Amino acid sequence: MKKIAVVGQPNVGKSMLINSISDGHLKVGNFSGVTVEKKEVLTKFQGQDFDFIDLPGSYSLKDFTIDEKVTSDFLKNEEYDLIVNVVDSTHLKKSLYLTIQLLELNKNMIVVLNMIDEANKNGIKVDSEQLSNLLGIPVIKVSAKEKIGISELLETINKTDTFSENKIIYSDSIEEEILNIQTFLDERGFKDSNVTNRHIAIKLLQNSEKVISKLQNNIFWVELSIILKSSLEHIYIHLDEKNLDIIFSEERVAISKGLVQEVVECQIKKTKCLTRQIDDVLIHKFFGIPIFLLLMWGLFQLTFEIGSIPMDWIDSGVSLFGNFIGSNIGNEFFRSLIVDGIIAGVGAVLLFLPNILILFLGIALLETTGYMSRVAFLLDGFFHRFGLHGKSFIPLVTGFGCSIPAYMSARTLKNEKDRLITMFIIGFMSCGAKLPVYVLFISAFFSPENAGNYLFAIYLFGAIAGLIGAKVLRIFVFKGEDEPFVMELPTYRLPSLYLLWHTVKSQAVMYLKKAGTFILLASVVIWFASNFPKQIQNPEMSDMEFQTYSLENSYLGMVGKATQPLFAPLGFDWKLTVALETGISAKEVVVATLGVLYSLGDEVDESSETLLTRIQENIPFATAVAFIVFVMIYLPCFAASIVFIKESGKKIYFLYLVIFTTASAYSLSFLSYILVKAFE
Amino acid sequence: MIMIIIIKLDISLNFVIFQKFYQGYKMRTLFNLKKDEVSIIKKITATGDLRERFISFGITKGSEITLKNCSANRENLEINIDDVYVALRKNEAEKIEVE
Repeated sequence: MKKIAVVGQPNVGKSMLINSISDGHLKVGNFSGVTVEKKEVLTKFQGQDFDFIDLPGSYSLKDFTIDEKVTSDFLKNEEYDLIVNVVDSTHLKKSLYLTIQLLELNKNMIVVLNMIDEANKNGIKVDSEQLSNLLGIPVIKVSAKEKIGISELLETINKTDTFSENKIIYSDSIEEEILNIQTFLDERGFKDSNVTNRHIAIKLLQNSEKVISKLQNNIFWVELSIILKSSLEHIYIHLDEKNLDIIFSEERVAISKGLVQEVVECQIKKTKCLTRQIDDVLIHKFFGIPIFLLLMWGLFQLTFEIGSIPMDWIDSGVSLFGNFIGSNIGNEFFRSLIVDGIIAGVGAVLLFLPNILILFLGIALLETTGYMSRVAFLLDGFFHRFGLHGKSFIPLVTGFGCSIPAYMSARTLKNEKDRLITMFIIGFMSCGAKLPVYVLFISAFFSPENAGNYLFAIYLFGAIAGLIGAKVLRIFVFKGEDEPFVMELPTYRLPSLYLLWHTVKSQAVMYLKKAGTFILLASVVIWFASNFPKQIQNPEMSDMEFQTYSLENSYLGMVGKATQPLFAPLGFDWKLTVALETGISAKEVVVATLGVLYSLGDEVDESSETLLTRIQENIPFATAVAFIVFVMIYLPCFAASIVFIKESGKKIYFLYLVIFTTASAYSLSFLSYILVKAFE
Repeated sequence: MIMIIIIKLDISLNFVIFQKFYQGYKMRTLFNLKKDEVSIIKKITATGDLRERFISFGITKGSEITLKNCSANRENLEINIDDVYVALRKNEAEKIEVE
């Protein structure tokens, strides 16, 4: 099996390339930080097994962010057969910087000129053969999007076995010293089994600890170190710089400049006006932020408006289905388990599948087009005032989908404190699983014309509360210096339909899977806990009274009643209390619990067939608002908590998170309860 | 006595003003560019990680740089270098001296 490390700068289309190679299920985006951890994809070509490892995008092998550390650690310490370096043909000079750094690692390598179709369209002609000659390694033109050159690439990977030394040439003053040291090593008859003396000379000039410690035991080290010292002094004088890292970084820039001059032919003068024209509007001084807010508002309008059409069908479908199944089961125990437990619980969650898909589609569009980094640019000034970093926007928006990838994408933030603050407030960005709660309550209490506005307001309120929370954390907990803001604004790209379809499909499958397994199980548990222990019907009670009585005395009722006093100031009854408590397992369970609890007792009249109407009739308005606010902010779900602990690095941070979110949720919820009561 | 103090004050004040003027005259950073103005990078005063990050984006001495956009109160700037668009904060922009 061949182990292939796929490396490239952000936005060069690494993930898309692996997708085209393997039809794999990687997520592709147009901003830095989509591939937050290395991912593996296995594929077969001409009987040979290929193991592709997709490493996070890195501008260089300098560990600037955690992401880049993952990449450079892997490349320096792990075993692999080949590096596939993906470069952006339209921005070759910038991309080659990393290529040269990779060549210095002295490994088998192939350069992939990706997006060659786009380069051709822009009149950029790249002479790949010439580049291959200059670098001394294979160079292949590929378009991951149009699936051009993929089989050629696979064939080259298959063929590349023998290592060939790269042909990078540094500037004269450095080359002279390389030659000096190399000659010395040759004269002393020194030979390393793996690398040439030239490579050792370069590494010595770069002050590589590994090489130095290897040579230190040699008898000629005393002499060598004197030569090395004078060589370095020559370089310092010649280049008027004393920092070796910077000297070699600038060398790499100069080399890539030279390479581009030799291999790139620009026929048409820059035709990338489209991105500029769009940016003139989208990141306009004054209109930029309003346009962004308008787009977000539009997204939530769509989420509600379009999502509510199939919602009605699903809602009545579920209750019809429940009635049908119910009338066909004789046994009362099983009838109740299936209809009131499973169908009510899972049905309540299924109801919101359309809303969630629209929301995820919107987020996928934001990610893949390149708009996300523009918004980071627009909001940085504003965020900065709240102690956040412009790049925090990326994990925060991802948080609208799900907190788990959001915690992971916080890795694009270099500064530990910025990263932790961002992670603490990701929970304030309501995730997709909280959407059902909002939609349920909005549908129950507000007119449908304004529903989208209310939904937008809820998300906005959460975001503002999060910003204030960030400021509080910055002032009292995570004091410290700011991280510099340097960020590439990539060319706008139309997302491929395949990719969008893929994102939405995998979200749908995941949601349905969760509904069919976890939520189903939770529904059964909740049903069980709400039906047992069985009560004996007092002859004086009517059927309805008995139902209420036994629910209140069930296990779930006991738990709810025991903890209800805690939430009494917020106006929650024991059912809402229980829903919050079960919701810690997963936020969808809040709705599932409400579905089970309200389908069992308290049926006001026969007409209240659906969950919506039951909610409407049983919960006072102020309580509903307080409940929404509480759900908006309180604890992340179980799975997200585990990822939080892992990503934050310290368990104690989770305790802080619990205190921080619970305190904020309780106080804001209480405040809104009082306010709504006062104005009602 | 008082005269001496006044004279001393005057001299030191003049010196401060002169120094400020001198610095303002000498250093022209990216932050001082007008929108769409093209210039050449003269010196980068950033150090360490930031310096290397600049280099990896092609922000090096002698490169042509254009200020493309800035946010409402010039807190953030967008620049173009070799067809790559990079967003910076004011603090970072002030570390790039231009001609």
